[in-house]
Amino acid sequence: MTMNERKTIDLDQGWEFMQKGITKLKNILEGQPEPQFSSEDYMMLYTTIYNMCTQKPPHDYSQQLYDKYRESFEEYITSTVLPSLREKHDEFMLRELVKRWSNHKVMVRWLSRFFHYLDRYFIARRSLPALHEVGLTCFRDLVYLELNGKVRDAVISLIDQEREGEQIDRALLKNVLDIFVEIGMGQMDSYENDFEAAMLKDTAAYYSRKASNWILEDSCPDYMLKAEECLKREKDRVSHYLHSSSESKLLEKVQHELLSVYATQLLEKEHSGCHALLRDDKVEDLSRMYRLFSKIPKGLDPVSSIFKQHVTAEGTALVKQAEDAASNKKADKKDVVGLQEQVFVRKVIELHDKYLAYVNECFMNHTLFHKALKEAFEVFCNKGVGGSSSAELLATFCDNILKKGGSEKLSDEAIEETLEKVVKLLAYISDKDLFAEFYSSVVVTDLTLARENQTNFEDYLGNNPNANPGIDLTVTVLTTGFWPSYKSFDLNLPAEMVKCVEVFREFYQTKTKHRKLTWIYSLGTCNINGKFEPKTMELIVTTYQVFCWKNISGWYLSPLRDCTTGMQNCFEMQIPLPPVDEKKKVIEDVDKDRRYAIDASIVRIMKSRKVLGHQQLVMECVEQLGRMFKPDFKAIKKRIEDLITRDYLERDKDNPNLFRYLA
Amino acid sequence: MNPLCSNQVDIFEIYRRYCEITAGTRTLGEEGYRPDDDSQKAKLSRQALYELLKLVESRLHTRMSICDEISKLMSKLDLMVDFSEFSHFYDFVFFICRESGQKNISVSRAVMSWRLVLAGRFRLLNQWCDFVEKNQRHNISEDTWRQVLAFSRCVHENLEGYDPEGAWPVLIDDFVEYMYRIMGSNNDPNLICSCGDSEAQLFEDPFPGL
Repeated sequence: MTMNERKTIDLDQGWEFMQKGITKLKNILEGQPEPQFSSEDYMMLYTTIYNMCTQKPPHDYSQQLYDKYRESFEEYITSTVLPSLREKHDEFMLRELVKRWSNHKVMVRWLSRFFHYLDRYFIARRSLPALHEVGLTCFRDLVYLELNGKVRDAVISLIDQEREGEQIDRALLKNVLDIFVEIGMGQMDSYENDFEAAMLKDTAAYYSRKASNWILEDSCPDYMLKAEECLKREKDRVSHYLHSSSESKLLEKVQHELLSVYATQLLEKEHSGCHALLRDDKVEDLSRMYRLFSKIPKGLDPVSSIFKQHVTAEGTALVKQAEDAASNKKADKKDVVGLQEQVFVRKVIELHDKYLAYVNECFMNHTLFHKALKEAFEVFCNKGVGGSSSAELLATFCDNILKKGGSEKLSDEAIEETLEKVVKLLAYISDKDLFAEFYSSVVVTDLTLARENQTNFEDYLGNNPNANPGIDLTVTVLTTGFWPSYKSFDLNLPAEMVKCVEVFREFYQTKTKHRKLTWIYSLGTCNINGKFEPKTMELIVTTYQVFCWKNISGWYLSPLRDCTTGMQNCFEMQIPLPPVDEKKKVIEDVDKDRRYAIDASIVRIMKSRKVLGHQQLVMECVEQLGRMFKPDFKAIKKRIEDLITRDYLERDKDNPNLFRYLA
Repeated sequence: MNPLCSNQVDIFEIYRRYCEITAGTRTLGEEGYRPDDDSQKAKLSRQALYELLKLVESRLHTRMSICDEISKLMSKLDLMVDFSEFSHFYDFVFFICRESGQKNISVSRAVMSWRLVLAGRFRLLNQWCDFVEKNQRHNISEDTWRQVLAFSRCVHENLEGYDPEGAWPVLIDDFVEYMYRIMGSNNDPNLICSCGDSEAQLFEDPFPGL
């Protein structure tokens, strides 16, 4: 077939044929009895278009056909689609719309096939909108523009009905909302501007109303349950019929209205807020609180701050308790020194265990809560109890654990675990060096070597009965340098003890010839059997007390006689204790070490910086030493002055706040 | 060993030599020798000062006579006009108060000298001297001595002009703290001291007797 042989078709004639095909299509869409298109029908329609577009000008009707293609949609929409939509409302209108949209798409598909040749040649060459697009645009311009407001309101009202617990046709909503998406032809503008914005606004209003009631009526846990449930349902809603891009925006609105707006009021509810939940150990509610508030911006700040307050308060209460106990003791009588403090440390560890578990479990290991816990512990851990710093208390505690490990046969694991906890607490103590010094000075007990030595000594006495001094003697031999230095005094030993010392020295020389034994009497204790009127009592006294006693009164208890009369089983006696202030010495030693540390730090800094302002120098120094202890500004200043005197530094001649390093 | 007979050297001569050494014009008397290195120069002038100090000690036997010597020198110098001249003299006073080669001077000497040389120049002089006598156990270092002059120039009776952030010696910090305590601290602590680099703060009440 060639063009020349073909008979020219004029426009009216050709269009009349097309019109028939279009009417048949409309009838099918309207559900009227009409046979389906056969492939022959389709071929004829397509060929007609093809022919009319390929005739020589002026009989090339491409432009006219392109226009008529659009007009066909317009005519159908105006005459049939719009009237049927306008007479319906709400859900019915939505159903009609879905139906009409789906029909429209069918119509576009068929018509664009009939007119397909336009797409291939005419449209392509002139860069006109393609047939499919023209078809959709007609619906958009005539139907969507007129009705989208009404549709939107109907959809939102259905959503609100669902929020109130009614069953709604979710599939219908899904289809309606798909129209908003599809009508954008690849852009989300229509969905976002014509539907989503209003929906979000309505959501906010809805939850704002709800929240304003709930916050008054409900307890904090109940409110949070409701909020969590709402968020879950909204998420569910998105997955069923909203566009997935709405999820984050929608949840954000709900979170804002339910949580951000009432955060303070909710968290601070007097009988059920965050404080109360912490007080009553409501772990589950606290977890929920974390889940909810972790989602809103800065939401966790107030929660962590309340957490910090709570832990600080509990810790401070422990400190106070221990203080009270300590001062009662003092007023009462000094007996078992340090027991209260040991209880205190034990309690602090328990407190830490408890709230660390909260941080890890309820608060999902969040750094904010780790920080809160740390800060809370720093507050009260650095308060002293009964004149002892917490560094000292911890050190004594460790010592006791190790001792008990020896005597009560605590398992290695148990010791290890407890010590690890102490180490955690240690992180909160600013004077770590003080702990180290105290610790090394109290840990002097657990020595297998010393024990072995003692066993050997007992064997030695067994083998040399005439060497036996008549007093049971236990000696712990330690290596100098492994342990902190203790003051050793030359004392006027009672003859009985001189003999003990001699015997031990002889024994020790059998083991090794070249070692010097220094006796630290301050660490010794004596068990003495006192033969009193009613019965014999065992007295446990320090070695020093024994010396004083012997020196003052011989072995008799004359100054004490008054106390023993009249009381059957109860003795009160005072044996003077020489003042050996180990604690003071430790603090002095630490002070000295700190002075060296500060000097070294200043020189290090100035050596590299050569010239530095006063403030900066102090700050860098604090930073360098912060790992060990918190240096006092005044201490640093004093060291700077000293270094000036010692010609390590000088002041700048023009600016007294500037220091120079002198090589 | 010293060729100069002790009674030929008076306080004026010592001061003259001191000025020469500190100005860097005289180093151990070796003519034409000019060390380039700063630290070398400092070392030499320290050495020269040490020699001079030995000379002073051999000359001035009695402690209390120092007081008279300083007064004598003070009356001859024109200290009211030029602050740098006074500042120089002030440093010299510290130097002359040093005993048996020590770097620092005793509290009693320091206080005595302050009362003498800062009279009319330091509004809190009495309080300062009382405070130092009561509270300072250690000797006074040269740095503290010098900073006291700077301090005297920038504080008024109410302590305004003291900058707590400044690098004042701890003794001065403690003094200020003590003053605030006894004055009740209703002063404005915001005024920042800008001393050291300005000659603007002239003495409003020069000591009339000089």
